[in-house]
Amino acid sequence: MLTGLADLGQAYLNILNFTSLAYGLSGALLGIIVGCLPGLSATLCIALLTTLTIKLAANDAILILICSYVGTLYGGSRTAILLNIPGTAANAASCADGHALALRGEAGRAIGIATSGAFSGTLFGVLCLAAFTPVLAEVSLSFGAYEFFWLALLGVAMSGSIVGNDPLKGWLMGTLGLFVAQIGQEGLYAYDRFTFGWSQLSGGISLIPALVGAFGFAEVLTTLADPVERKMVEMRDSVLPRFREGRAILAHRAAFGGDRVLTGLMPGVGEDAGAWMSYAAAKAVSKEKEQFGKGSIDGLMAAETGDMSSIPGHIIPALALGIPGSAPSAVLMAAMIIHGIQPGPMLMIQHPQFIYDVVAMTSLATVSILIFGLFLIKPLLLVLKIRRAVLMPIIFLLCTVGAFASASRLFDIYCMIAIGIGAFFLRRRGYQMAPFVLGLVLGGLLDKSLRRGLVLSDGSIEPFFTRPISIGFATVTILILLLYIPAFKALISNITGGISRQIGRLTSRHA
Amino acid sequence: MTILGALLAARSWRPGLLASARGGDAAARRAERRQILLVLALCLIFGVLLVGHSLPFWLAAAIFVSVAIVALQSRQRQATGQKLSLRGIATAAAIGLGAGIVITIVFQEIFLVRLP
Repeated sequence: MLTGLADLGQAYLNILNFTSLAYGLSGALLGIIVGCLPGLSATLCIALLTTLTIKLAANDAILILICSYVGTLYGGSRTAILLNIPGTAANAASCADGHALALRGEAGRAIGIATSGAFSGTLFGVLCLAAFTPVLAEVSLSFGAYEFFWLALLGVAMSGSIVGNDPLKGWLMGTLGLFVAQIGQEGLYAYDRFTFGWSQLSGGISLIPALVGAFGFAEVLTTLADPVERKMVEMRDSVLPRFREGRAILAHRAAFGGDRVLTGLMPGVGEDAGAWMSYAAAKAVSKEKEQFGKGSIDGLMAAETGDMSSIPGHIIPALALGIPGSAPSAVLMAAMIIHGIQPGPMLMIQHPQFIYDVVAMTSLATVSILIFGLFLIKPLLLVLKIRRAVLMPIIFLLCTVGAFASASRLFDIYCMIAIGIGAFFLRRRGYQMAPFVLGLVLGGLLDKSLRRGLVLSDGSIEPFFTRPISIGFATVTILILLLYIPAFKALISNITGGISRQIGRLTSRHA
Repeated sequence: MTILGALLAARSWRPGLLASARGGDAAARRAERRQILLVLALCLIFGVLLVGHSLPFWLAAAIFVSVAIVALQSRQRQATGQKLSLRGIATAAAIGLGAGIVITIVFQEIFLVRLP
């Protein structure tokens, strides 16, 4: 306990120097600018910055990436409020109430509420990050190949179920990601799989080009395919939140903070799901339900605190288990690996200080968004005036550089283009990219864990179903899949309904 | 994947499916399709033909950005019955050259990242 606090204090001292503060602030500012630009996601921002910071020291590079991650999600609220277009998918829930407030001439107030909600949400998440990551990392040390197999499968199954409206499409994208992850030399015996004799494919499909394609090039195509360029609402009022609103933000944090961080812990459930769940929870308990969607302060606050507090929630499993919670945290995890830090159970043994460094970095990111959010509003709004015909070709240029830089292979540029075109057409048909990315990231772990487990058990699948933690993960995974079969769902509803009726009868008799 | 694909196909199938998919605003769809084809062509020419084939990156980037801005803006102007002025073309060329040089300097010289 005391060692943990000492390590945390040391982590804060480590970032209190000019270079780290400059890196952190510039990362957050760049993130906010990217977030402000509709069509550019946190995943793209982190992927591009990973290549830009490849030669920096590990801690400096990760600091920039975490600050840009937090900054991008926060910056997306600007476009949601002023243009009614979410800057990132996570800000979609802020559109309705934020833009309605802006149309009433209260754009500044809406931005102020979004800023303070984002600040308090991230701060709460940081506390959870500091408290739970070391504990989860300790627990995960008892996981073996069998448990990791189920955990990886659970990630893909859950991501497919929750992201988007159609679980079938989600699972299809998840399995497509798992398939793409198997291309190239396999990890145990180094023989080629699905390469069809093409040597370029032996190295596999790298994560960064794939992500830049799926989230960068596809976004460029999506943005440019839209014939309408929206007009921005002018901001005339102050951004500083009123006392009553500040009190409401704190109350909301206390009521819903824990479950939003928990949402973040679920693999593949992105920040957008965190925002929508927070919005739904706030609406359920609100006394002014009819105001939601028409400029509700509570609604905007709930959406912003929800997406921001799930960021540390996504970082926790990425650090402790090596299982990213969302697409941006998957890139963050890839960046850590590139810089020689392997997230997962061994992190607490190999780099025990690093978890606390991440807590300090996220704290700096939180303070940065508050500073830029409240005191640098008008200059940041200029970014929204850049025309997309000018911006998008430059973004594609950066995508090309980003895809090439990590391995200096032209083949990675071709992969990025192919995946981007595929992602663009798939997204138009309602296929989400988050399960694909989770499948791509977890494919290696799933494959290695399955085969290691089979080697250890001499080909028997029994330990996958008999070890205590394995059986827990297996039950949850199988239940998630079965719940989408209508007959099984009806059966479960009947059973749970019957049980609750029995309990009701028993309690009424006692009363 | 095969099982999930088959389930999706079975769920989606209904009589007259193809006819209903062709419905909607034909002119708007044609305009959107043209726009997508233009963007795809620009990006493919840059990513596959210009980059990594002996042309310096800054020059390839400058050509791509300038041409893309001119092509996209002239389509937008066409829709409103206007033409792109010489000044607009010169601005696009300046932005393209600036983007090519700045990105090359920032990535290659400051952050020591290799460029194609």
